[in-house]
Amino acid sequence: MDGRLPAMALKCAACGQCRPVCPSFGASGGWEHESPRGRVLLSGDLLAGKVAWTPGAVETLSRCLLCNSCVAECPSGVPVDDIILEARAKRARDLGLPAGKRALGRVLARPGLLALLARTGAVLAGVAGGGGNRIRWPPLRRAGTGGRLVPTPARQALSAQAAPRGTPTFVFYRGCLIEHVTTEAGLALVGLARLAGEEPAFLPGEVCCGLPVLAWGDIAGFRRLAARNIKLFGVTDLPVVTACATCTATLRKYYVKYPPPGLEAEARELAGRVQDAVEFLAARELPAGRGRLGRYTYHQPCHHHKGIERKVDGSALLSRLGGVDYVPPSDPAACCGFGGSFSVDHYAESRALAQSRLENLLATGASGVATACPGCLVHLRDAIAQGGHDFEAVHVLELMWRALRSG
Amino acid sequence: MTAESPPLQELARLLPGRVETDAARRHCYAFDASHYSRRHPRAPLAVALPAAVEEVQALVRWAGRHRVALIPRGAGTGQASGAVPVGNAVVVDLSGMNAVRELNLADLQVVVEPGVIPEQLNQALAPEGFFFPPDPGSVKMCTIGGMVANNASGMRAVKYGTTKHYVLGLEVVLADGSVITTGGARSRVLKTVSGYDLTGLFTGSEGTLGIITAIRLRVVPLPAARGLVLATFSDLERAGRGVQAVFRAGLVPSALEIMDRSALRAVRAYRPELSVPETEAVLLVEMDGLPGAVEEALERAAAALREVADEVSFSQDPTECERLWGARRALRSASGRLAEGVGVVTAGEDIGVPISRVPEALGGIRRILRETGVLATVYGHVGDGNIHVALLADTRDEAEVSRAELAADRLHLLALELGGTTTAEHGVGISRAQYMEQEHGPALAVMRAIKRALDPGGIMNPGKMGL
Repeated sequence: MDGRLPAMALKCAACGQCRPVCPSFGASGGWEHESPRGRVLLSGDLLAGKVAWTPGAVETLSRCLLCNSCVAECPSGVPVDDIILEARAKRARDLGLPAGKRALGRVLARPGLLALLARTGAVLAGVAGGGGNRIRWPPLRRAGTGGRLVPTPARQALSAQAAPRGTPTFVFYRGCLIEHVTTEAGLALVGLARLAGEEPAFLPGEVCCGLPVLAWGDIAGFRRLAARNIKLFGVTDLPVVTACATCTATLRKYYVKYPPPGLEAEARELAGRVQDAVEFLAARELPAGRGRLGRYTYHQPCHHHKGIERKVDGSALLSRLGGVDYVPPSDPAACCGFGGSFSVDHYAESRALAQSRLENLLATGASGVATACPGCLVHLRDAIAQGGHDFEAVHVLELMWRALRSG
Repeated sequence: MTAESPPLQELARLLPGRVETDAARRHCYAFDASHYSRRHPRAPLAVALPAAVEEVQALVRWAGRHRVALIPRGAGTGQASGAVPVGNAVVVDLSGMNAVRELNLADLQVVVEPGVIPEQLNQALAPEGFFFPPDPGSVKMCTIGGMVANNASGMRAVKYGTTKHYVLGLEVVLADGSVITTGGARSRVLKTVSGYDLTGLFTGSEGTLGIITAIRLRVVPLPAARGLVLATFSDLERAGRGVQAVFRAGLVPSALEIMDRSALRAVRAYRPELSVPETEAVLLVEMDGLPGAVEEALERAAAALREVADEVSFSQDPTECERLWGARRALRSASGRLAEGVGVVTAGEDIGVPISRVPEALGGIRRILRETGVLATVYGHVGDGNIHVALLADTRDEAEVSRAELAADRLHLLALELGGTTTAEHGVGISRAQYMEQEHGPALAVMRAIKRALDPGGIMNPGKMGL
């Protein structure tokens, strides 16, 4: 075990400043063990062997979204995410991983299998009553769990939809959701990049960034995924661009913090080359949009600005668009409650958080919200559809593309 | 007593779904922000999260029947082990009781439940042009119930006083499960001399006399403007003399804070963008009021400080002032950034001295730190003589911890020697119980008599305050 860990927990001055900013603490009704401080002190003592695993401890640790709201707030600089991840890794070592997570981990490591499952899902959704027309919004269908509306996978993967046109100038790291689900955002990036004189390359063989696997404590599995991506993108020195806030944060931060053995320098090199699509486009000339798209607000993904060094702000792109009136939400930093596996394991809390986030966004009077993370996007779309609101959630890239093409 | 024992099963039935007995989760309630609780963590038998006064009454009656102690707790931001268990105890976490019951601005008052966070109350009051002034460093996360139980204060106490100056009345569940309302059962007045001051008795009683379930608070108009003077000093004791200079200039600052060299380093590590100066000490003097008056007061404060300080600068930009105060409020926690491998040892952190003796106290603190070899930041509400010391140690190293504990003890004794107090705003709890006899003499016996009268069974937060 990493001997530094209890030391990281010792940094916690137990001031409690993390309590009001933690989404899952807020949803819990006020239990200390559901606060970052409670989880940090508990994790420190679990890792030091002073406290034994209980069902409550496992459950409590699973309720962290890894949104890093607490890390951004902490005056003492406690790396809460690292402490939670180490405690979850200990849980996985001591108690094993649930079968479902082990299976999903294997799928994420096999791009061909993931693609096959996604296409099968798309076909099944079509058979079950029309997941087919991807343009009809919202592309959401009722799934089995707790009335959750999950998106239908795209009929065709993004990389199959966009044919290469010339010499590539950047690598488009799609990640799972942009490649298989919210492909419109990926197509938008391709279109926008071409307007700016850039051409994407789709490297076959890229795998999931690994955050879901890391998040449930499988650090070895995470390192295996990271190793494949690091080696794959090591064949070129082109910028690697993502359209997913979570992928950006994972490639830049967690690949460096949890590097595959022997690839430490390569992980740092790749991290320096990774750009979020928001940054990539902000630095490039684009024609002015002519269409009037109306009022839009922006949901800042946690992985774009909390607990990371290089912050990304997609609302700047919105303000730059001629055809969009940008209205900021009164709470610019609130989490949507998605949190990856958190939304699967704790859907009721996750949905309540999305509901409260959505209310804050609706209060702007905008006709829709743009964001830059497909995770936030599908989660907000669920909340919108559940509430029957006449309100759109759209990837900021897709909105830009729409503004430039219309009129 | 285990989760399966009949009394705890009965407890679980009293508050369905809101009683926690899982061992790891109870462990999270062994801590507040004090060094003592980190050093001696003791988990409660159970934690209860009541939602209404009737549930608190039921808890108290249950505790009386089974002779189990109750530990009322807000956000657990206390620094004196006041909200952690001693012996067979159930923690009553009041952070879920967080409704604002009344916003009665026509009568300059509000009624809140104990779990309301002061900053959230102030956010609700600001659009109406009012505020609740006491502002402990934990104003963003503590609870008003905890503030009342500890008579908390903060930077603005120098002008606005402490929590007790705003408490008009309390709803309290007594040790027999009955409920009283202090300050007049149906009163909405701003002052009364009718009867004993029970409101004052429960305020600052640290949960040893009853559990507060509602608070009637006075609120005051929000000042239209605020501004800040920052004075730098190449000598810490001379900064202490700057305090006198401000008052002699006929000014009542709304905050008068000091930060020493280490504290300034910690702020730089935490918020580099604030670019606080590198010097031995700074004084921060805030003035509030009508814009013209603030401007004149700032000029007078600057003129007075120029006599003793090296350099004096101003800010009237509200955002800049608020960011500086934000960093100042988080200074205890940010102090851990001063070195690798150290954490804050929260002990001896809250002494108060007469303001005439602030320079002596600052010199004495430096001497103690030097002699014990403990790294620390020194800062605080020097305008009312309240000096905070954040001791730092690698808490895995027994020798370092012992040195910090020795420093804490000597800080407490220094304060008493100078005619001061061991705790100006954080409270006694367990951490400072050992000084109660020395600090209060025969008055402690009166406190014990009051405790026995109101809590004969000793179920209300026992083991605290040296009672």
